[in-house]
Amino acid sequence: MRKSVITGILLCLLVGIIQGQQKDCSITIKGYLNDTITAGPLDYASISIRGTETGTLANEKGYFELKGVCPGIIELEISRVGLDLQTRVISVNKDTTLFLNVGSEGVSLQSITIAGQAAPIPKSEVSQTIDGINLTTSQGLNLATSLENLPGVSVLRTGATIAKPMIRGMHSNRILLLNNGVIQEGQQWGLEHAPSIDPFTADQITVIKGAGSLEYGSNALGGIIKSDPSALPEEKGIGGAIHLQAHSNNRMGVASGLLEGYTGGKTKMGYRIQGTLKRGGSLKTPDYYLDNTGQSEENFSWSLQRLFQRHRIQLYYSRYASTFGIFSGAHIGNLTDLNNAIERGEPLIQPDFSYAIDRPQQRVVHELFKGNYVFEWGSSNEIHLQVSRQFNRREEFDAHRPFGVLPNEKEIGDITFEITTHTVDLGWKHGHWRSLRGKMGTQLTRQINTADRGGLIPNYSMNGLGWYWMETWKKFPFPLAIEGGLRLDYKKFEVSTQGRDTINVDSEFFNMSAVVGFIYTLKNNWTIRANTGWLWRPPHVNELYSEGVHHGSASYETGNRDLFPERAINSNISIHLPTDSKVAGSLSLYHNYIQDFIYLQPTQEPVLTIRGAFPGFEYLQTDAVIQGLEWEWSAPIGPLWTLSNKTAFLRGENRLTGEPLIYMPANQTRWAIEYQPSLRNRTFSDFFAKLSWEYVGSQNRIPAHSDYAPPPPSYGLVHLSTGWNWKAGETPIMLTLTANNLLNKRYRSYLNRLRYYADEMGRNLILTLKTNF
Amino acid sequence: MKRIEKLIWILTFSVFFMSCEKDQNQPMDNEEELITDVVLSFTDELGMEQSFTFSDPDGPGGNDPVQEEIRLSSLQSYELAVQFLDSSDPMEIENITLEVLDESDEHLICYGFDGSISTLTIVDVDQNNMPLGLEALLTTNQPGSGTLTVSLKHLPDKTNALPCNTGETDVEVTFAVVVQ
Repeated sequence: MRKSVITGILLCLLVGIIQGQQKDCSITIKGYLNDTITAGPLDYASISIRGTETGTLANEKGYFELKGVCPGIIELEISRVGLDLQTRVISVNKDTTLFLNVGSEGVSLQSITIAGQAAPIPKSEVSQTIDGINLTTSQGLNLATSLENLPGVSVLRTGATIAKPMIRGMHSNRILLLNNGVIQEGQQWGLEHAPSIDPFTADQITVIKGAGSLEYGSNALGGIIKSDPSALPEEKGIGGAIHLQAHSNNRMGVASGLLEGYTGGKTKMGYRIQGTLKRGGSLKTPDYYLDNTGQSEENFSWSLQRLFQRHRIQLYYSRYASTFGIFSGAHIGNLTDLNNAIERGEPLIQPDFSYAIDRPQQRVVHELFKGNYVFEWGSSNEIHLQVSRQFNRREEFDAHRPFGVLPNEKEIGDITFEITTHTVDLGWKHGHWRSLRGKMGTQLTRQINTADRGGLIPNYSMNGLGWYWMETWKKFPFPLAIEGGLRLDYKKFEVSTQGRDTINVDSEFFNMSAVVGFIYTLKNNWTIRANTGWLWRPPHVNELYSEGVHHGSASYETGNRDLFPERAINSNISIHLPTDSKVAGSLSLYHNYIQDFIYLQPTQEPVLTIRGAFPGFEYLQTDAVIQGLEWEWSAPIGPLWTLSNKTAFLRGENRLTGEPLIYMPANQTRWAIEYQPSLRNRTFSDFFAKLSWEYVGSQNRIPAHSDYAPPPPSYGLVHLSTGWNWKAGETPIMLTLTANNLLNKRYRSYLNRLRYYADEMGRNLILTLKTNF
Repeated sequence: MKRIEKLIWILTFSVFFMSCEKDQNQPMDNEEELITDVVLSFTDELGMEQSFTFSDPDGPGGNDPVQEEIRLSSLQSYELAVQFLDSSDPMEIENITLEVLDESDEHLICYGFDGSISTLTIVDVDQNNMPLGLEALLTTNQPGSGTLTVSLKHLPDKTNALPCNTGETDVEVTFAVVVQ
């Protein structure tokens, strides 16, 4: 009944939307011209649209208005005495406010494409983006690995293939992952549960560190990762891309392709279909192959977009399906096996290369379906409504087939969870209102978890309701911008059964989070950004109820039903060099205080089972502090070379015991030198070669009696990558060759949960070929 | 054209909301069966049989396992037979030993002992003529006490010099032994 009501409402909405609209020339472009040299307004410049008679003169504050602009791609021409003629190509389909930075030098500036967007609202948070060639070369690995070379981002691994991102020492339930605007809802609690996202769906991946955006949820104590596809085409035609990758280490092949287009005419429909296939075999350390470490993935997605003058409606569907072999040498039955493995130092079984994926293994399917409706008016006002459904099924297969099952059930996982999540988001953004810009919205979530087999996590349903409001004050050209936000959340868990036990307990959580921040632009165009957030995170079901042996880690975990929400005060300050200067860089400092931090504490007595004794761990709460320092810079050396460095220091401390926190990333630094000759001819261009050195310190700060073996020593790795663009006839082809761990160094990483059993992956050569048509 | 377009949107959205959720209160399909009991039977030279059990019917966690003390006579030799049972459902006790026998090449029963047990020798073999360990011969020492550890290994390397240090442990229980 309820479903049909919602469907009805949507239908009414749709019928209202679907009305043909004429193309008319009534768009107004407003804008401010800013002089990048003086950092002040650029006054009295003349602005016109090339090929038309539309033009105007900016006032003494650099402000201008162009009326009667037709939708489409236009070229703005900006001219002024003492300034070279400058042009900007933009695409407009609605009223727009632009903030244009115009350098008096002009010549070196590239053409900037602003796709019908007002200048972004300044943000006090620190965010970094991976896109272009950096994303292209790493897309074949996995989402977390693509982000690994950002300072402050580390990767928590289970073997080399299962990787989950960690922002400033926080992972799993303490970070948010946004897949095309939808919060990824899988089974993100487990250390060996990697995000089920195909990196090839992304055009850019952004990491927002620390407190910042309350728009998506309050429990992002560590930060947010956004994976976004490129906008669907809005120009008539059909195009596409093919992306091929070959990896030498595990003889992995990856093929991804997409086809997209825009119908134009009356239908005004943009579309895209995309798919990825991946097949890899045994991974190789410098000395031996790792048994049963193959992987396979089959993903696809499609999207459709219908454009109207002021409305936009979009549908998106993606399906991710993967099978990962779990390194058999790490599959242990009890503590004795673990100690045997540590003593051996290297795996007992060192087989030849194979593509076969045997037990133990995990299979994950993740489906996302979303519909998105946007209504825009005036200068950057919009209302959007988004509904989504996600379905995640996870099957884990033990090395040992279960005893006592019928032969036809032997292909059923020993642990099977299915989790279904529906969300509805309604949001409103407003453009300038007395120097304020902001947004407000509400989110409704319903999630149901069903355990088909295995009782580690109970069956539960979760209902959540959130409301947020964020505003930014910026009075151009005053150099200070101030932002503030507020969020209210309600969450209710109804836990029904766990294995064969009936629990029937409801728990409710209600809380408020807030953030304040500022952005200050200094005279020399350096900017200082600072913010503080008061955030909270309710305990998740695994922390409340998990009960059982984690075979991979030989530990017996006990949930704690008396846990209460974590509360964090997260403060960040950073300083950024101007984006248009030759030397780029930023430095950030952060301090994250978490009251009632939930963690696993070893118990006094081991848990005695028929499989032997297991060290026990229970979920407890403490007050924790995670703080650190990060920087990155790059500077040209002469016209052809660039030197860069990215460094992160981090400290995590348990304030009640005075001990360090477990599983914190070690300090690390990455140096790189890049050579970019400006050779350019018809068939060969954009050559680069980059040599980098990654150094990861040893994590000596660990709590006592929390680990089975001491943390591995520090290590340094050398990576090399090179590439160029090449034209085969009229077809542009991008070719890159990357060598990770070029020197085939033997090492182990503290953040890899299989470090007790085997070395990390040796040298891996990756050949990438990408072409657009 | 308009109508078709309208229909496409309507259908797509309807599919979205029809996609149903599973009933979360449905009974568990078939939970993995566990080994809950290890039964050691000792038969002396006169054919007298004694059994001792390690039992944890509710699986890991929950109630502590119940463990019997092994009582044997001194300077005797015994035939030892091991059984693995699933008694999590008391109405339907399953004998897992048969499944171990079925896949005998993938299993090995290992023994550790000290104190008043003098020797222990595996007497049975698997499909490949390698040791299995469901049956063994045991001799006792002078009166005293000791321990006997029985473990079931899955996928051990039986050609290894120390096969009991390989494979995954499915069972590992330690009995206290009194020899009178």
